[in-house]
Amino acid sequence: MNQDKLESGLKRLPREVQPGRDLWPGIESRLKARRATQPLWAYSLAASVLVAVAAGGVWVGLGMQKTTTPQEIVAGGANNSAGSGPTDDYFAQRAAYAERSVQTATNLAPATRDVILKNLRIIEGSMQSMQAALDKDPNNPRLRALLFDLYQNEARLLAATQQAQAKTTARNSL
Amino acid sequence: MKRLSIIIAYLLLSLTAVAGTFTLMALTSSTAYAHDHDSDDEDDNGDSRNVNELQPLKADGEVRIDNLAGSVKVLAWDKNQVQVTGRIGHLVQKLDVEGDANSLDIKVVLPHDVHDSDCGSCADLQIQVPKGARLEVSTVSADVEASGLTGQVQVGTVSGGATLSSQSGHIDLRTVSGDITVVGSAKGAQVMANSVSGTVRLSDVDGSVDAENVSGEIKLVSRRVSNLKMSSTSGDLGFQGELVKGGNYDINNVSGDVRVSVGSSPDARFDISSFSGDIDNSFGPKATRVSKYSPGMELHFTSGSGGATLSARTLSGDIRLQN
Repeated sequence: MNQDKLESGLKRLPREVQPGRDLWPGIESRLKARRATQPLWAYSLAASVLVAVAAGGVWVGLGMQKTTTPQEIVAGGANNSAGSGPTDDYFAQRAAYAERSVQTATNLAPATRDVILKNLRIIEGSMQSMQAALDKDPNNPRLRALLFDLYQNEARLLAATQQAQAKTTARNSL
Repeated sequence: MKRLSIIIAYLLLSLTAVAGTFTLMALTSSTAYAHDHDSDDEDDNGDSRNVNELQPLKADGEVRIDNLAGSVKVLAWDKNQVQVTGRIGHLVQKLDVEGDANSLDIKVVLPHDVHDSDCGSCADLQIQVPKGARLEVSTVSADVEASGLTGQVQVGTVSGGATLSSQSGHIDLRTVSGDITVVGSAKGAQVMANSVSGTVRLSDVDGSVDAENVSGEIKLVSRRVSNLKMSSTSGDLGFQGELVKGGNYDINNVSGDVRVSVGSSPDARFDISSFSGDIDNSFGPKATRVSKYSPGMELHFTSGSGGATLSARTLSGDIRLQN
């Protein structure tokens, strides 16, 4: 009996229920808010972190260059002994980290990302060439100054990437 | 049997012909569609709107301009007003001109779902500002051109070019791949030009110059630069001018070449070095090898009383000093 009552009650229920008010504008605005871009401060923070990491890289990179005597150079030959400077792995890891940070700048036009990546690779390649030169002539202050410039260039390039990303992201924030 | 074979061959041939015709028709229609689609893109300009805004601004007020794509042309005039004219594309939501007589923001606003690349040339703006106004322009792909200003100028673009012809005392232009051109400056100005791969050309500037690049070329032609810092990683660097007494000129490159042309009898101390590149000097002693452990070449000499200091160094790029 109760079962029949329940079934008849269910049959009397309307097939569709309209909401009391139009809910879509609220949903849409929340969706837009979710889609909204990251705030500018987030990119500034990211740029600061990148510069700090790159500056750390300078310190570590230059600090790892052990001063080598001419006798050691002669003994080691053109291919200096392992451990006298940053290794290839070190440069590869730096390059991978830097490239990842550019790849994540998804708001940049692909052509712009390509330009930045290409130049980043030029800098990374130059760092390795510079390190190879320093392995041969470790006490050369001019080479050290040039290497320092390269670390700075890399940091600037990564910071410029974040700024360009922020520029395209925050374009409509009024 | 032979007749049956002929009929089958005939049928196959007919089917091939029909299929070929349909393929050709499909290809033709898709090409036509693609062409129509391109035309639609080109028609972006068709629904553009003209803008014309006039706002008061103090003679030394600040103007900030933000236009992602298209062009920005800034001209100086003698009025204490800012006039914005030009055209905005139909995808542009609005042109915002906000602020007061001290500071004015001019911003081309796109809807959230429209990117700068979608609207091609989003807005082409011509903006007249007081001559002494401080200008700050930010774009992504829009070219920026400014002339006649005496106030400080700051321009940042990604792929857009930045061209400045001014008497400004403080110039700061930065691009990623856009070219930078600066002609003229105030006396004793501070000029900064920084790009990643764009070509940087500076001429007739006066004062202190700091120009940096990664793979792009930098060329400076000026007789009134008293302090110079120029560096690149693989782009060529060129400085043509005169060395000012007491001036410092510092030029660094890694694999790009360096060319310095400072007249036949400069008054300066020269410190030139390259780890593996050539050094060529057309008005003084020749470079010498300084270490038996490396191929490095160095050249140190004084011309005249040594009133200025010029140093240039590379890793593998060639260095040429010439008249």
